[in-house]
Amino acid sequence: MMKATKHLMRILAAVLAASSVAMLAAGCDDAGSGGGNASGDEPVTIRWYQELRGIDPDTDRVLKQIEETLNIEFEFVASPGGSEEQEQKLNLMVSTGEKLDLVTMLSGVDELKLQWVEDGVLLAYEDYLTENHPNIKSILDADLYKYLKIDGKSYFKPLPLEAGNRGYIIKQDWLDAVGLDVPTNLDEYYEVIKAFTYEDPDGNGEDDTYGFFVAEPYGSNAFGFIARSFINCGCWGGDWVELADGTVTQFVASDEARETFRFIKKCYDEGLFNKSFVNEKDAEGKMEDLMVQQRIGMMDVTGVTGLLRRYEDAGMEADLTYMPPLNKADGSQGTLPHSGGSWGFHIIPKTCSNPEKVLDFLEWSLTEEGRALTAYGIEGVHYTDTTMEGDIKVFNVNKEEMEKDWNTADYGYSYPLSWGGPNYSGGYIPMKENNYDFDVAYPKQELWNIPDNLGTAFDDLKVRNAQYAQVFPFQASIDQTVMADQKLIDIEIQGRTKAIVEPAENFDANWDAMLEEWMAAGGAELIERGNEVWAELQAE
Amino acid sequence: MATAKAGKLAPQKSNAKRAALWRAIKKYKYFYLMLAPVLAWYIIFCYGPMYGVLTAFQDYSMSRGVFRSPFVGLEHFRTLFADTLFWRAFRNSVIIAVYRVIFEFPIPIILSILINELRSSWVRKVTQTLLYLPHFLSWVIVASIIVTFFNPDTGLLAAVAELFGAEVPPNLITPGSFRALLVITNIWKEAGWGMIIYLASMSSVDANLYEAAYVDGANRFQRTWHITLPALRSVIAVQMILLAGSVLRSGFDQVFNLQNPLVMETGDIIDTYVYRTVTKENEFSYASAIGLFNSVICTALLLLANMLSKKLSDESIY
Amino acid sequence: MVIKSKFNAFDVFNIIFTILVGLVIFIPMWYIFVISTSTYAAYIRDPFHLIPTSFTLQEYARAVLKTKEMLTALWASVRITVTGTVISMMLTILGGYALSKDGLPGRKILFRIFIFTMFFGGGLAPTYILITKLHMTNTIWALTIPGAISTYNMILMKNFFTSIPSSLEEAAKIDGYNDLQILFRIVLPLSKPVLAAISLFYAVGYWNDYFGALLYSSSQDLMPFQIYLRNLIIVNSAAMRAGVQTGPSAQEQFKMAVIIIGIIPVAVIYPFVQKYFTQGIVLGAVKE
Repeated sequence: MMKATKHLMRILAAVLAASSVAMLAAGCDDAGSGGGNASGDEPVTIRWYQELRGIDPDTDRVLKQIEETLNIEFEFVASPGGSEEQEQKLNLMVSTGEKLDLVTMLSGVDELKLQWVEDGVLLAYEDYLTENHPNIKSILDADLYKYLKIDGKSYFKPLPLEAGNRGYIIKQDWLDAVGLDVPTNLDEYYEVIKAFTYEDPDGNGEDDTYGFFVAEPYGSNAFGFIARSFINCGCWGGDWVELADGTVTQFVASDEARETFRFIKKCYDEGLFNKSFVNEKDAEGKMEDLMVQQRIGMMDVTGVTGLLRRYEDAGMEADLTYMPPLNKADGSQGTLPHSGGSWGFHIIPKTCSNPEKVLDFLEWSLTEEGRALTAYGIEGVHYTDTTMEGDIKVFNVNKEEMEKDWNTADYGYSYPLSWGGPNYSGGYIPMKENNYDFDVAYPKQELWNIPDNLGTAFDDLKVRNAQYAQVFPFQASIDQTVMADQKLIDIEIQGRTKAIVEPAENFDANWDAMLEEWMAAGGAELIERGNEVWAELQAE
Repeated sequence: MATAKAGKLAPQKSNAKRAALWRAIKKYKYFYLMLAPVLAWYIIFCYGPMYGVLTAFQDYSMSRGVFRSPFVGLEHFRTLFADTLFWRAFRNSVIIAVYRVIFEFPIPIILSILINELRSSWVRKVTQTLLYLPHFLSWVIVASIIVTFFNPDTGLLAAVAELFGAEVPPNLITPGSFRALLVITNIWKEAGWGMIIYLASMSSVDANLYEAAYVDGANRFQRTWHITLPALRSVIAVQMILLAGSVLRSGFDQVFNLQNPLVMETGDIIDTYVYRTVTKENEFSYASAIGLFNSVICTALLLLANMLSKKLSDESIY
Repeated sequence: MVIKSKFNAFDVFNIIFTILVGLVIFIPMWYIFVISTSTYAAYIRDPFHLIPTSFTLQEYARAVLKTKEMLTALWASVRITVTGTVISMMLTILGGYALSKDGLPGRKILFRIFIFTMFFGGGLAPTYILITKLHMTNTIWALTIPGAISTYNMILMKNFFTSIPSSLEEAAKIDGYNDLQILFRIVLPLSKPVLAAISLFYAVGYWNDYFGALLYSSSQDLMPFQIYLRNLIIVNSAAMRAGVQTGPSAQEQFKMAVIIIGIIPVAVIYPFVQKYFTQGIVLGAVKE
């Protein structure tokens, strides 16, 4: 046996030696595969890591138009969806130095991405920006995104996202049936969900309704709505809140969190929402179905197109109304979640052979012309013209033409790459019209839409949301020292879920136990550190 | 081992041995020819990247690569041994593995024998095909179907319970039920698939044996016991040994998709724990240390199972 | 020679048991099918029903006709599965057969070298670098060769070959066959059940794999069905969670239809493979 092991080791050593020689040899032919050159008439190839969402780059007319306009040629590295594995693939490609000119990264700037910067695999935008790129510069220098700079340089160019990207709607017909108004504070809210649950608001004679629905165990949207009538916060776990005295603490450690979950616990015991919520996984589509099925009375939405389409498919009328955030106990206005200002980033790896050209492309996509092309396609083909309906610019779309280039059943009548591609989501941010001051232009975002979506009472959903949307401390910050680690988040989520489902008399004991464990696991130091950083920020 | 023994012997004997070995190698030359592409594959695709295990001893960053990342010695292992959440996950993995061995392992064997005993050949075929289908549903889908079926308001279970005047509790996936749920759902999904190898082995039993036994007056139970089962013995042993070596790392997809925040105490396994730390915190080296630790345990289990099997039944995988 | 035995209590038990097991498997599968053929209105009326109240194939039509993505993906999966299974079987047969020879000098060491890789691997990054350096990315080879041998399957194969009586091979030797000829002319024809089973294991492994394609393929042509399915079911939620307006998320009936479409190919193939498992049995126990 011993001898055999020795042999094995010897063979292993030989194998390892052989394979590393092979690796070195293979490594030699790696150099010198640069793309096209800027000068001359040859189109410059841009190798772009991007989700394609069913678009065929060989035939897609929008892409062809972009390529002609800018004398470029796209070579797509198709990234399959925004999953965890996609992250792994991106990490492998970027960190092993695979040739890429541009990356659309649909995830946050975390420790891994900061490692890239540290290891020098990304280019800094400032090193290549010229006076030809005022739009990009305006975004990078925006006050809203100042937290993204690393030693004064930008490596991550955000794709802006409307502030008020998520709001709440409630069934008007149910409110009428139970004789109540849209709730304005927590007491009224409680009354409404109770009536929705027990007074048969859909009039089918059965006890089959809930006040609201929780679509994932964190309950960040449904629970968050309640929590924000106590304090402005996030509800994902590991989020910060600012207290009345100007200091910060983690939401979980605040008294408001305890009261929030005490209220939720009461709702749970009275069956006002789905008790099996712990087993739901991002059940947004399911929630829309439940609305149509007349089983729940309200939900959070990022848009109503999908929901209205489901109503239509079922042959039913939607009678919905906007539900503003609840007032706090002292009568002041509660808040809605803020998007943090962006979703996704453009990064340029150092393997990029022509950064200027990539910047030209990104710059163009932020102009009104570029934005229109990437949102609704080619004028005269995919849409006939535009008209103004009040504040809204309406694109009169040509559905048959759109059908030819993309799958409208899945992506609707806007270009699939209109968000999370070359461009941001929503309408048009008039940077040029506002002297390239992004912070001024951002709230003035022009609404763009298609005729189908008009007159639904939710045309201006995002504008209404934006009135209430508020960031919480360190939201979207990339400072890793103020991030709760996974262990803390686990304790928080598991603890609060347990407090909801276990007997009511144990609520405080459960909450205390969770808090104690959380503090001991590093929570106390985190709060201390957070306050130091917060004080520095306030001093600036 | 011929070569290993050679060294101990006196020179002239050693020469004779060497000649004998050379003759043997020559005799088996076609087999070495067969093995050449296989060995090449293992060298290139398994041992080529093997240097990656070094990352467990480094502060590894992918962009620096293995050769430029700093070494930190056993630091990650020290962290690991002090990490209570890791030990909780480890304990859960072991317990779940034991459950799997006890409850999941025999089911496909029993099922394949029972189905083999069905008289009507079309019933046998239909059942086999049906049993094999759930293997092709991913766990994401199975999990969502389970939630639908368990739904206390609208699910099938609620409907059945109503017939008996009972009520389904709001949540059936609890710390107490979670491990049982893992075993049951895995049996549902994989038992039919697991049968295949046993059915294949059964079908190669010499039909004459059955006839001879029949003539000798053996009944069906006796025939199964004395002919079918012994024919399966070697494949059962191999399956058991390989299972012993892989139980600790099986079932990520299943556990991850069925988990909820309430069941972590009993249901967080090593793989789900690693998943959370790596994807969210960029701790590649730490994950690789856990992986290495896991590998060592698995190898030990495999060797142990192999040794036991050799002692008890004279079956081993090599 | 016919084996006859009385229809007894065991048969009754066995049939009832089989029916029960069958039902437990069948009901959820049936549920998926019923939903996939429901109209949205019927689904909304009662999201959980096992007795169809409507029938439409519009979701299937939508999947097959409107999105050519799915057909491209299915075709890619077929190519990957066939190519991969052929490569895998060749290597596994060669390895398994050679290892089944007890007298082969070095056999034990080789075996250990192979088994070692079941537990120790270099991890993602070194493998990725290797595949890139070999210029295999974006080819079908990157999706087939790196995972070509499952040591587990090779052990099963070797185990089976060991059980073949050596007298047959010795007889062939006398007839002047060399070892390669013996393998292909004598041993393999005798091993149909295990060949069928292991081909099935490999084929299904390739059919279900998505991670390889995710890492090593950047072109739409090589995106297999499983990736399409995952995108449909999992990925939409990432964008929705972030609060970005995506297209209308896929409805339940559409998801179910796609799941069924994914199962059809394997369900159709199985009976053909199954034939090889039952051959021996038909000759033996249940000749009535």
